Amino acid sequence: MARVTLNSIQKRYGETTAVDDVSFTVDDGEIVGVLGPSGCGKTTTLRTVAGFETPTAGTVSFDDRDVTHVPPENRNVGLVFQEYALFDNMTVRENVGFGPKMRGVERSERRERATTLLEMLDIGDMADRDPTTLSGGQQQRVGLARALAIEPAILCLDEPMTGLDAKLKARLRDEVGDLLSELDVTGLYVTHDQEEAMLMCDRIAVMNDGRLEQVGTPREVYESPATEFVSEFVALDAPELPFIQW
Amino acid sequence: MSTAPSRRFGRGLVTATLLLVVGFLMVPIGLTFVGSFAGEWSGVFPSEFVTLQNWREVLGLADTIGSQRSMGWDTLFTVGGYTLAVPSELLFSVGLALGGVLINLVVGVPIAYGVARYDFRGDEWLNAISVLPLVPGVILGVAFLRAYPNLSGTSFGLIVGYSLLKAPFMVMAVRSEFESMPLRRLEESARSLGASWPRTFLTVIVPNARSGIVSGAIICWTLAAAEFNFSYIVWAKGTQPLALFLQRHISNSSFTKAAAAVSMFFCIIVAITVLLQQVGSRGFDARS
Repeated sequence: MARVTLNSIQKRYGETTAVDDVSFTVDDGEIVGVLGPSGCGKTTTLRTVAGFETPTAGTVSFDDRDVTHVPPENRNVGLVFQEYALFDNMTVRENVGFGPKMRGVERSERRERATTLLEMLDIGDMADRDPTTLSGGQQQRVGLARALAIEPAILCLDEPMTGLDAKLKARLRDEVGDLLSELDVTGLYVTHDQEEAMLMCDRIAVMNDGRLEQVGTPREVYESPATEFVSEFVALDAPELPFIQW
Repeated sequence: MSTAPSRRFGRGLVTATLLLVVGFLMVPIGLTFVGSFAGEWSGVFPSEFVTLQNWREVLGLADTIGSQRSMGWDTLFTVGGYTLAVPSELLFSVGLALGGVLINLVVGVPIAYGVARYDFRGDEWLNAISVLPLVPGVILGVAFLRAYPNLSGTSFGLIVGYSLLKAPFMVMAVRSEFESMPLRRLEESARSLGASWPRTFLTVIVPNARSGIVSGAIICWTLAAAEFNFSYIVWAKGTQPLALFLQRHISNSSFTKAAAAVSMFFCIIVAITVLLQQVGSRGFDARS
């Protein structure tokens, strides 16, 4: 795990600016949520951290190492998508073992690591299954295990719960939240769902129209929003939040 | 309680229609197959069963007269007085069509990937050109002979022509497969896990599209094997492509013998389809 710093990131596509002057730090072991409406630049921010976008200006560093121009396969970033994107040509275990395999980890150790992770995520008995036969929630657990298997410097989650039903979402949120803090994972959690961000993240970066509106703990963002946008966006069908222990 | 009429009759109606249509399409094939074992077929139904003479003649195992060339049985090996012979010419013409498929795999899959994955200037055009079966075989055949006189009559010329003619089917099948999966996400997952781009393409992207690639290959092969017009114009000498072999047996023979030739063609198609499917499901297995 590492401390991840975004320093004045800007990303332009021709005339349009997707991300403008975004700076924040994700401390070692911390989960930072990037919250905002669709098209606000949050996914571009995540893709910049993962190495799929090179910023037009600004730098990304992991600890003290500048990784702005390091290709994704050499960055050691775990990715979890809304679409799961599991490899259907491999079993669940092979999916989880893919990252370690690319890193030259030996077969027996790969197996062991995959088994441990799958058991941690409560799907240990599905190791030899074809991922297409799994339910959405189970597939997302496999996706998470696969990303964690490389012991990433940072785990990037892009709307991982969107598309799951409310009940499952609530359960997964609790379980995954516990697991991430137990493993002391450094994470970037992109979502448009303020409730999810408040519950899963240590701090929240609220974005709008490519700009950073506020960075703070869920409580700060909720109780003292820095801008009108933040207060509107966070209050918008705001959860009662009785379950948050301030 | 009464059920809605649509529910009461709908299922039966659909089943009956389906059976009728399938039956209507299958009867000629079935009848031809049965007829290929008959000695005489002058009325509606064949008669004088059962003889293997038609098959023997088509397969070149019996002596024939006139233009009926044999299929060039070659001895593969001989063990203790038993000889295993293979119809080398037949295998060769099966191979001609497979060659076309092979080129399409190498060229068509990357094109399909490019069009499905990237937005670039002219992608609509590339898509249209690669997907529209623009040129009929006759026209391509003539144009081919003018443009590449050296390729006239060669096996390589036939293979290239087949791949050109049938490429649209490969691109269409594979592209729709690529478009039905989260292509970009799969690629990004594999990259982030440490796989280089070529490795991602070969071990993740291509195997995930296997069903589209296999069906594209089957369509390509079947159509290439049956492509008469192009073969007729470009082929000059030597081993005949399947379509010409078929035509020879249909136009110069008794009906029963034509039935045997058609049935054999049908068997080959089934065999190659099964083979491609098997290769497809095993060959893409990236199990570690």
